[in-house]
Amino acid sequence: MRRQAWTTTLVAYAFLAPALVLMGLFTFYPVLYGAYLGFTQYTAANLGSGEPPRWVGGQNFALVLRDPLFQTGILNSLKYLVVVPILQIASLAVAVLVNQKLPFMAFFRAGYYIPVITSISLAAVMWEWIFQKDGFLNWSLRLIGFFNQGGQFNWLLNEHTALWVIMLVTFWRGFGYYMVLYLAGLQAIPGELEEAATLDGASPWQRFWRIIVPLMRPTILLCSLLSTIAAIRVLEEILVFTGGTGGPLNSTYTALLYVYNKSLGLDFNYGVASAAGLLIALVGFGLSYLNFRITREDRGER
Amino acid sequence: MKKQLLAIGAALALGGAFAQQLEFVTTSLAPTFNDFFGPLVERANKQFGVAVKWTDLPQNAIQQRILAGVAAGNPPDAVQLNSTQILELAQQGALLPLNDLLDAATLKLYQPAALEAFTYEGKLYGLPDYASTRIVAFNTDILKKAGLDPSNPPRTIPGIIEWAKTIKDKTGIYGFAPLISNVDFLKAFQEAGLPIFDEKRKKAVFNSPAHVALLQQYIDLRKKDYFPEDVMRRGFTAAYELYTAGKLGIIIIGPQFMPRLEKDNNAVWKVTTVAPHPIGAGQVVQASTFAYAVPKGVRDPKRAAQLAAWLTNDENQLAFSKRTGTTFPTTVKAASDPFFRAGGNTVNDQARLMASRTMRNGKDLTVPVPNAAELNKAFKDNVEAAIFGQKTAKQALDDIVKVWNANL
Amino acid sequence: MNELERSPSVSSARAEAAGLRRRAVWRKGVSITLAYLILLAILAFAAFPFLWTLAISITDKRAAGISIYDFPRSLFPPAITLGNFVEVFEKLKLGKYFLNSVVITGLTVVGTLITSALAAYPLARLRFPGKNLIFGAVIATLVLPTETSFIVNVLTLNKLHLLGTYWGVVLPIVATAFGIFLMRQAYLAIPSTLMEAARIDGASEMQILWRIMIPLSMPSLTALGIFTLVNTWNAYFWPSVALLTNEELLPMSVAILKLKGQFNYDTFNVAAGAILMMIPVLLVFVLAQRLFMRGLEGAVKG
Repeated sequence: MRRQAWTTTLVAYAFLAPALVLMGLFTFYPVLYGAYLGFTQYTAANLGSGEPPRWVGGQNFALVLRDPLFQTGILNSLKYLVVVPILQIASLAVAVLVNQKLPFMAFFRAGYYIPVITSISLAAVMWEWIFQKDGFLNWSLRLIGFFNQGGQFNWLLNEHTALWVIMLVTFWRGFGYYMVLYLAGLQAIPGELEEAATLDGASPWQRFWRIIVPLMRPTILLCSLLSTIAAIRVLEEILVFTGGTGGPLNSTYTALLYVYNKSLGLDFNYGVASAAGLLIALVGFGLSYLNFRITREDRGER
Repeated sequence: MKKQLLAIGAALALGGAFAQQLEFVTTSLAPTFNDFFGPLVERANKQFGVAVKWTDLPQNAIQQRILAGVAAGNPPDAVQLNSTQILELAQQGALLPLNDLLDAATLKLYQPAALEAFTYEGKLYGLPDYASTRIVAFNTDILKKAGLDPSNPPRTIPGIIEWAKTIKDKTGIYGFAPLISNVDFLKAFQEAGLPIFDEKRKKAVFNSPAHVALLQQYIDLRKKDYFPEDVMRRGFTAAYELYTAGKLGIIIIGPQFMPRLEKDNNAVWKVTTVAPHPIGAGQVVQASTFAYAVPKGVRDPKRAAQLAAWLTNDENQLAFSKRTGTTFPTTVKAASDPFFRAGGNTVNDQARLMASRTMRNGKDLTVPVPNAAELNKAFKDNVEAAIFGQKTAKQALDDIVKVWNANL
Repeated sequence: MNELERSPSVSSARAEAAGLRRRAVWRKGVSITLAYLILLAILAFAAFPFLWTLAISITDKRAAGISIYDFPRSLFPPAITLGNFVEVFEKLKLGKYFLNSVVITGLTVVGTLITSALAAYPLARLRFPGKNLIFGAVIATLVLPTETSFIVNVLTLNKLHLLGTYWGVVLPIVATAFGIFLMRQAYLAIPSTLMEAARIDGASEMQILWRIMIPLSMPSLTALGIFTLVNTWNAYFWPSVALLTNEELLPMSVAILKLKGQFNYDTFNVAAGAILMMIPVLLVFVLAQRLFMRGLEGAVKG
């Protein structure tokens, strides 16, 4: 027994070795170093002069926490979480839809994956047109009598709507991505189970909730966790649709935009950027923990 | 393991580039100007007696690339960047001041206004290269519909605004799209002859009644929907897209955009006429200028500065702007070359001619300030709030000045 | 007989049966039609920004007429050409960059699949000391700030003399938390009875991984391959930094950015470049679908 535990450990580490070596060197080390930078003063000047970072303790954290812009950013990033459940349920439903054995399904699957590989800066041109004052969204809403000509506005220029329509773009970019993950997960569900349920007279709705969802728990955890982290760290859409300003009136200024502007974007103040990044990570850890709890993951280990 | 990796790495490193003697970097000029830089590099090889390497980088992430090069200890010797980028990097201490590296006679060759744009806290951080400025373009179809005479365009900004109002009132199409997003209003102040700082550059002073009145003018225009609100978010891009779609009567534009317009919508290009940009009380017009900077950590700073000076000398600047046909040199001698006073028949040629007239008053109006990110954001947020009616013009400018003065 | 046939009750019963059958067929027809309508609506939502890019890329720019920013008219080009693609290909000499992209992406995908498939197995199915710590650390890197990592990695690569080589680009991005997490969740979904049976038969852990785990998680492995492919193929920031000393090895994603220079900005060429970037990825996706949709039955039989 003892001997077996030893061999198992040895085998486990042998399997882990390539990933751990590479991650250790190129992921853990820079991430730890980045975390250390959060406690130092470190700017582009250090790069030029070769001067090492200077320890300043919790000064950066205090500065970031006091910055109203960072508070706005965290708040907006938390708002962005709204997209997660909608995106996940829709992606799973779409995956179930294209998992059927009907003609042309391969075509639809490929079609739904297109947003994932479309260049966002070019896709933005079309989205801009949708959200414009005389754009497609207003036109459709008017068609169904939602409001009259006078009530129209540019959705990206209104501080009450901008963040939400950018979320729609995130939804658009994401559902094909998660669809693929869910499709992969669906292949692991034995077909007989579903057939049996159909014979027992279960409606598609019941089959979805009683068979697919429970059996897909590991995949659902994977997707919801990734989606949550992506939402709290949303940046690219904001850069494209607001030119990196987080406007109008900071209504789309997200937490990571703060980090971006402090580091790569403008300031090159890596100390402050790292401190802000660590604070966001704290929020991320809390949310990840929630994800693990909600999906009640079981471990089928030896 | 490491040894093997290195062996594989070396095998895969097809022509590793460590042996370069001198390297310069340009911003998004390849492959369009390969025919210019090819011979230039050959001449540079002879001039400096070592292998000179040219690298062109896209605008995206060029600063990070430079920083990574600085961090790795092998930055390029001379880097071509725009004024905003150079001022930012200079502030962060990633660039070498050039005053001590070059003699006064060399610096005398450049236009003083151009040098000033790259000076931060008394030190010069970039040797000016080419500049591009603005002209005014008119969609004559729209003008005619509004009953305006295209052959007699307005020569002042208030005149353009009057035309824009007429166009909107008569046709329902937007007349013009002012470039006032982000920190561009700082340029609008300077063009109108309104100061940004006091004499000693110790205090921001752009909350005087005259400044407030200028901002108020645009607030009123916005309120009456005389310009598209989208320019507040996307600036020139929004203006260009509207103009290209035939939904804008007048546009303030760089001559280098005319060939693009010719392709993007030939029909609009055909009915476009051009005029010089009006000169306001400030006697200046924004002229975006690129310059060569020398990053910290180069092996031989003196030689790197000489490379930058050689790249921007009379001969090379003149040749480059002749090649582009839409830009202008920033050395005194090259700028006065007769080439830039010659016109032509197409609207693209006319655009260059008009730009050369604007260029007499051209200057890069980017304002160097410490803590640029924070100060610029305060400026942008408050102007935006004022334009959209969340704050009064006075309140907005007072708030910005307060933030600025706390940092200057 | 004739009488009988004509008797109202029988004929009505028959008619009713036929009617029922027809109604069942009809109902099935309706539900399939409805399914396809939904599929088409989602396709329109997914693909419309792509359609604009596609339309612009094949628009003949020499033909006078409409603006590319005039929606929805610009979706219907007045004259069609492939000239934009030829122009992009020749101007940028894309051949070389395309090969670089293939090498970089190929090495990354293979490396990611191997390291992730190996590392995920012990994390999902073996018990050994340090397991939770390692898994926690891996997951943590999904959340921790990585904004400064690129600088640290450039310094590391420089010390290893890998800056400016293919391996310098690839090695830091091969082992990812995403890949390990994805494969771990896939292994977790496999019934443990299969593993136990194999263990009783005396199979080694390597054999279990190779014969059971990998075949049964083929869909997830394929999904991982596709995601890695898309990410690596489209990435421009990291490769441009890792190759800062060696332009010769730059991938296509970086070369394509040269279409956006201030003097040569040509929307038609930018769109053509974007489409050129997408086509290979879309092709791989379509081909990979077979592996990806094979699922349990195919794998077990195989």
